[in-house]
Amino acid sequence: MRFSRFELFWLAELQRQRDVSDADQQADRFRLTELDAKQGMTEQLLERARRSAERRKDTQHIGRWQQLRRLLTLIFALLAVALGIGATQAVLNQPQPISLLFAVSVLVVPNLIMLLLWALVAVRRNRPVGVTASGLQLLEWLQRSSQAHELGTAWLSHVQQQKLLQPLMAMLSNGFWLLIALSSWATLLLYLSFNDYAFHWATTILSEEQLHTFVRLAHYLPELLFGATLPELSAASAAANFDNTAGRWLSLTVVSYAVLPRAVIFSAAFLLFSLRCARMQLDLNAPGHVATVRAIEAAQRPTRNVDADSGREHESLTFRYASEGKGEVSLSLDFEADPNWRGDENYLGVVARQQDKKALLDRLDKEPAERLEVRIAGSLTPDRSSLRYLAALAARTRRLTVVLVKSAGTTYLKQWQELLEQHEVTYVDTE
Amino acid sequence: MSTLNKPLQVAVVGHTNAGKTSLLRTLLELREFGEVDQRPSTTRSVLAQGVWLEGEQILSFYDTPGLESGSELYTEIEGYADAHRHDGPAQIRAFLQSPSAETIYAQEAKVLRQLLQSDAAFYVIDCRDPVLPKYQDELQLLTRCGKPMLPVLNYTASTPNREQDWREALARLNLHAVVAFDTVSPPEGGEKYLLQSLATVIPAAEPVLTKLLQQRRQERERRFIGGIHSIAELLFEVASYHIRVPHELPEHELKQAAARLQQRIREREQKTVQELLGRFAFLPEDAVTAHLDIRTGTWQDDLFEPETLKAWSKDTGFGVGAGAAAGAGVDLMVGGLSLGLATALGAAAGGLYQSWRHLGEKVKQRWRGERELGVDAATLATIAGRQLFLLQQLSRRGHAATEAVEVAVDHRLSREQFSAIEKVLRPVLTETPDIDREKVIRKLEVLLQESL
Ligand SMILES: Nc1nc2c(ncn2[C@@H]2O[C@H](COP(=O)(O)OP(=O)(O)OP(=O)(O)O)[C@@H](O)[C@H]2O)c(=O)[nH]1
Ligand SMILES: [Mg+2]
Repeated sequence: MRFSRFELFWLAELQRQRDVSDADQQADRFRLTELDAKQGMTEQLLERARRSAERRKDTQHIGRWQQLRRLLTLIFALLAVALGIGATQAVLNQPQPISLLFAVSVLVVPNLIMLLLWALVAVRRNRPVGVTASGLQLLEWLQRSSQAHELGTAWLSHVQQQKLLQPLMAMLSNGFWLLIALSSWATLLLYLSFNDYAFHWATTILSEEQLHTFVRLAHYLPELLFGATLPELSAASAAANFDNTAGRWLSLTVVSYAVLPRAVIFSAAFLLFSLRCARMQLDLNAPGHVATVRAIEAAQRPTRNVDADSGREHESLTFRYASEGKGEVSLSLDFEADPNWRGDENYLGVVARQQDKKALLDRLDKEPAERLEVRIAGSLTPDRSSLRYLAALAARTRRLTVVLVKSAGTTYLKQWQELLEQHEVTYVDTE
Repeated sequence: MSTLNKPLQVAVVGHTNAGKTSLLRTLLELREFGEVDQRPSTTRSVLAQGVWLEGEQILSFYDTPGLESGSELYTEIEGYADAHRHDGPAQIRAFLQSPSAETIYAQEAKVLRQLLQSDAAFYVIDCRDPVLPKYQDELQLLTRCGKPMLPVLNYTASTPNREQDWREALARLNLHAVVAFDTVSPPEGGEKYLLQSLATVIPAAEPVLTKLLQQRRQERERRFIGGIHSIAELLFEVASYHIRVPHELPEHELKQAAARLQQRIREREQKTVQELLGRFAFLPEDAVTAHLDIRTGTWQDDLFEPETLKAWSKDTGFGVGAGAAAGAGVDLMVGGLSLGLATALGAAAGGLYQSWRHLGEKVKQRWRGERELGVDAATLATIAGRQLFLLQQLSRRGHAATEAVEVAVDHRLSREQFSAIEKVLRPVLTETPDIDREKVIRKLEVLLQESL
């Protein structure tokens, strides 16, 4: 199924809402590697939404939704046309001569009042009101499924985010009234063209003055826009062409006050809608999208192993001890963590430099020790080199003891203990 | 990006456990990059990870195994010094051809091989350690590769801190561009110094690195704003939770209803915690909404703990609900809430259909004598406070951190901080019809930002 851009963004919003509510399930459903890494992130999200929708058969629901929407629009349109025709007929069915004031009130005033109400209530609303709200409710009610409800929620959220709701509502509401106005105007033209009607200015309770004001007001736009001629107001309304002038004036008044304003607003709303549609953007920072974007990036930019582990076979160590030895030796390996440590006469000090380490081994080669005590700072990490050195020392003594010197803060005592136990080396902890 | 025709290759090297993998986790904001452990020799392979800017790869970072036999290897390489006088890289290459590069020095060989192929390297140092001869040998060995080395003093937030000793030792090796860092709690601007130090040794990379820094800053701002938005949504939704109960409900059933509401609130809060963690690229287990009870050593979810709730209402002046709801973190509102009724009347006077329907509901509730359970102010203040705390923690936290953030009750907002938020939430709490959700959330966002 081909989707319009509007529908794709709608689907993306639907998908986003699903991602928010159950991310894991959504992740299982769709492999991100299916996406084309060369596309921009927005396009990839849209593509993911499209494919997920196809798999979930959301496409059918969208199709049905759109069908119903068209049907509803048609029904609303027919209703509007019927209302328009009805209004005109109600006017023209009055006993003749027909009151011009009455005709204007029926054909123009309701439209203007609703326009005013719309301007007051609905223009800046970012929630559905009026026809849009009832239309939406009707759409969902007609489908009554959880998926349709999800679609409806996503639709609303989508048009709100893209700022499409206001122009859309303006189009709907003004479109509805435009149709009413158009149909009533067309009916009026039709009847006035081929029938003979008589008009007059009539009022029961308005004073002459009030009548004048009202008529002047009503005449303002038709005159300005079309240079319409006002039917003679004087009592001697016996001018030969009074009905002709009156009929023309009435139809121009309907155009000026009912058709034109609605048409202008409708076109403006349509323009705004198209403009915003063309500029739709996904908010990649929105909940749901954030995680997806990260997952897509992780899938498309994986960590690579460029030089793999070749195993530990050359790292294995065996601790073998000397068969004989004399005397005691103690030393600190690499570092003495206890600043107050003085040791006894057997203490060789800190052995840290490579040549010192080597020299010690040479010395023990000649004269293995009975007991060897190696002090190790628990704050230093164990490493292969230290263990290898311990193994080398072990081979040159009968008894090796490691003293793990504790110090403040996090230490590697546990790691040392594990490794020493693994090699069955005796160790003690200092307090 | 015209200045770089291929991604910069940057190796991360150093002694085992110095925090190389951790540094990359934080720098790449990849919580699950490689493997991090306190045991030595955790990283065993060279791992590469790219960094992208506007769809183009600009950097490749290489995590390498820890150096562990620097001194011995240094001695071994000295053996090649005669054949390749004054040519460090040649000496290293000669070593790499030798059998020991495949056996006892296999791990070190990986590091050197990678370093030879890189444009520069971060040399990670655990600056709690003294400057030991074996570390100096290691560093000497690495410099033989002839690549710019950028020392990174890690663990600067821990003690002991031998930063100064290290700086002096490094200066003697003519390494001056030293960056102080801590992978778990990265210092303010740490990333900037790291990337800028890279630009000092590879000037051609400066424009892209500057751009990258800029993008990262924007990304961080976006995350923060998104986080604030999520918290505002959370508050809005929790405030809108209501459970209707009959007037004559026995005490225990009322308690059950309150417990149901509590559970819903907890779950909703948890959802935001997860959302925030995800937004900042952390893992689900990186935060716990509980506190460790020192006495029992167990984790306690304290959002609705009666003790704490009582303590608050005393010290912060949050009122306590009536009857069974008292101390449960929920409000019991009688007769469809008088305030709600008043607002409903007002709104209905405005003539909107929803308002009339709402008014009808309220009147019906009152007539039937129904009551409503909703979240109370103290609970909302706690949720707001601790989520803000989490947000702040996450925005500072390095991706190398392995301990979870504790989001405990004591991060709640004070009465003063919360009163403005409560005012904005009032219509939601009282179920006023026709609320402009977006507008309320926008207002909440502003207030939340201000209370930071
Ligand atoms: N507190 C603190 N802990 C750190 C810091 N950097 C690393 N660590 C911890 O130090 C230990 C070792 O970190 P790794 O990142 O695995 O170190 P490595 O250099 O990659 O180690 P190998 O791969 O074994 O060579 C882990 O337990 C980390 O959590 C830091 O800046 N502060
Ligand atoms: Mg590592």
